[in-house]
Amino acid sequence: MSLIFIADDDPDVRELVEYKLVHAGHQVLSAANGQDALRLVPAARPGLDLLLLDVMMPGFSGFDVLTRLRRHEATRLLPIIMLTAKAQDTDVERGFTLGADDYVLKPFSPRELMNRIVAQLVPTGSRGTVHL
Amino acid sequence: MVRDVPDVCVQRRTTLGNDAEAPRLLPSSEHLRLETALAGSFELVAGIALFALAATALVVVLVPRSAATRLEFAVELVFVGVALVVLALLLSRRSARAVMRPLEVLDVALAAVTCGDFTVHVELERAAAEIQSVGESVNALVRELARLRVIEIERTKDQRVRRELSEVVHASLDLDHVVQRAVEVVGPALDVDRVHIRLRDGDGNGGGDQGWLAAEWRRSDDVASVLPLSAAVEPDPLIALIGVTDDRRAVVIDDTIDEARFDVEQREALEALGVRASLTYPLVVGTRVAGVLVASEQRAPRSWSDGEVMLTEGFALEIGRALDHALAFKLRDEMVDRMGVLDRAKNEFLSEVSRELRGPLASVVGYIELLTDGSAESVSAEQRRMLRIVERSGERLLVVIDNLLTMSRIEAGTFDPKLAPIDLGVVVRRVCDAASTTAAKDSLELDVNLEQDLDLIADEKQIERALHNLVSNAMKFTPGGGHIDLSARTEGSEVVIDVRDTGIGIPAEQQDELFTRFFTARATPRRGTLGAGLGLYIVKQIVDGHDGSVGAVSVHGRGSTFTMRLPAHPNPGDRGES
Repeated sequence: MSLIFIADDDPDVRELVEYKLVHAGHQVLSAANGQDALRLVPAARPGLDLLLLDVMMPGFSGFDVLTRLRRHEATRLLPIIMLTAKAQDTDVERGFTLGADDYVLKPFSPRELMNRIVAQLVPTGSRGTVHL
Repeated sequence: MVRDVPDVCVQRRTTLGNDAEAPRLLPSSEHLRLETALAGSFELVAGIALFALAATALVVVLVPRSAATRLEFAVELVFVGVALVVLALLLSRRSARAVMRPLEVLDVALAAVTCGDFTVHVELERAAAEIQSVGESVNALVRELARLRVIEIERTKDQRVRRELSEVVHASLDLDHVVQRAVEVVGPALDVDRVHIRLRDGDGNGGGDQGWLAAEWRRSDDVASVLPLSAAVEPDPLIALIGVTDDRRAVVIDDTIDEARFDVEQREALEALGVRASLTYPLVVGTRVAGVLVASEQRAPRSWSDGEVMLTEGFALEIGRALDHALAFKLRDEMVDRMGVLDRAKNEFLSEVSRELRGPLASVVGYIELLTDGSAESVSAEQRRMLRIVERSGERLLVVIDNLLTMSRIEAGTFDPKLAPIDLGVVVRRVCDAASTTAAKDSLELDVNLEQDLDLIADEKQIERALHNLVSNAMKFTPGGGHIDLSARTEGSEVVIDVRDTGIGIPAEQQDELFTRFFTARATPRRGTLGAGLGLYIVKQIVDGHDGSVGAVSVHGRGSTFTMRLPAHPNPGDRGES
């Protein structure tokens, strides 16, 4: 069982992902905008295992949130999957450059998303080396 | 001029001396005159002598007297005869001179005229009335010739100036440049104090006589400018005063101090402007009066000649044509700029729309999956069938969105392939994985047959999209239970990829338009599967970008085979300019 945070301004998408994650036995936290995510995500560490982050949100965008979280000691190594409708190659590249661990395009198959999440939820001990 | 004169003319001219200073022609060669006179008198003198001799003989014979008186009489007669001969000689010489002198004068004068000297004037005061009359005719002829010659010279000059103006104004497509060069040519050609051009704004209706572009040439700095300081907003004062020439005819003003034409205020205003005479001609661009060409004199009135008015009309026509070109060019430039802005807006709009559509689609596609993958409880077979339709619609929407986005990139010119060695096997697997769910649900069999170790340099994402579009297309047109085969092999320096289906095929008459934009087949086996007609067009764009080719072979009712041929190692230099 893991604790997963989803930041997305679309309540339908939040509910969809929550439904799938809860059914898979995970706990879910959520935020509807970038500011809330920036406040709540570091507070949820160290228990928080993964962040699903939408890019286009009012106020702080997902990229803004990502940049700030990567500077934050508590969330520097937090697995983050970008969840976005920005489908252009340049957007994907930007996400990875800023430190995202994966990038899932909307619309997505919930099953496929679960696979990607599981792939990121490997023991944290082995993750540190990836970023160093 | 001198170059064209034959030698004889040069010679004659030299002997004539400076005729311009001496209107009366003097015969210059004494030798010539005497010789001609003597030769001309010879016959006359001989005739008179013969007549005298014959008369003497007759008288001697017919008047018989004594021998002594006969001899005396004969001697008297001989004396009389000799006196008569001498008298005749003197008379003949005189009359010869009276005729020959004026003739010589006329001859020399005509020779001078033949050689192009139209300044000659003959005076034959002592000549016979008939010869004087001839002299007057010669003078009239010379005057007429001189007049025609002046006209001819003017015309040649006008033509030369027009040609020069034409060359100058057509040498540039920049409006400011065109009008500036035009006034610089027209000014000296008309020999006036100043020439200026005003172009009106917009359609020439609302703007009245407000000019937005102006150029002025002045003979010297002493000549005042008639242009207002800010040409962009203020009306042209001169044109405001003399009226606008919308009737497309010249406005000719010889003297602005013309009480019949202008009232006191106008006359004062014109004086303040420094305009005493003007010649205004409208500049017609296309079908409308776009501006005016104005020549003006500052101090003196000027009686504009017909030739000058015509010349100005010619200038105006020439400038109008040049402006037409320049304006068309300017318009085209503006259009290109505007198109560029529109195009960027369109592409931004497309990517925004694409993003906005993807968000809600995420919910549609996601929830349908939850409903059909067993996460949700008790979905009936009928509901499942309905959900399948919704799901397929969602998938189609996604394809349309992707294709629109790709289209906008193709049109924006940012679709150049990023070439790198690719593993075609991996690409094909991804395409088949994506298609497998739909294939299974529609009872289609998807077979892949790849040659081992295919070596291909291409843009992986683009090739995946092309294959995806071909496979989606095949599935769309293949009824349940059909087959779709995807195979790839190397042929020479090319990698050949076939996507074969057992679908409904393409009617022969539609095959030519397959790869055009917005082509859609008129029938599909499943309801609601018609797309936006971009899929195959995008395939073609991708293949073209790789310097490859794509084609289709189809038998209506039996199936189709789409074949992509890609160079295994495309030469990057080929696309250097794109």
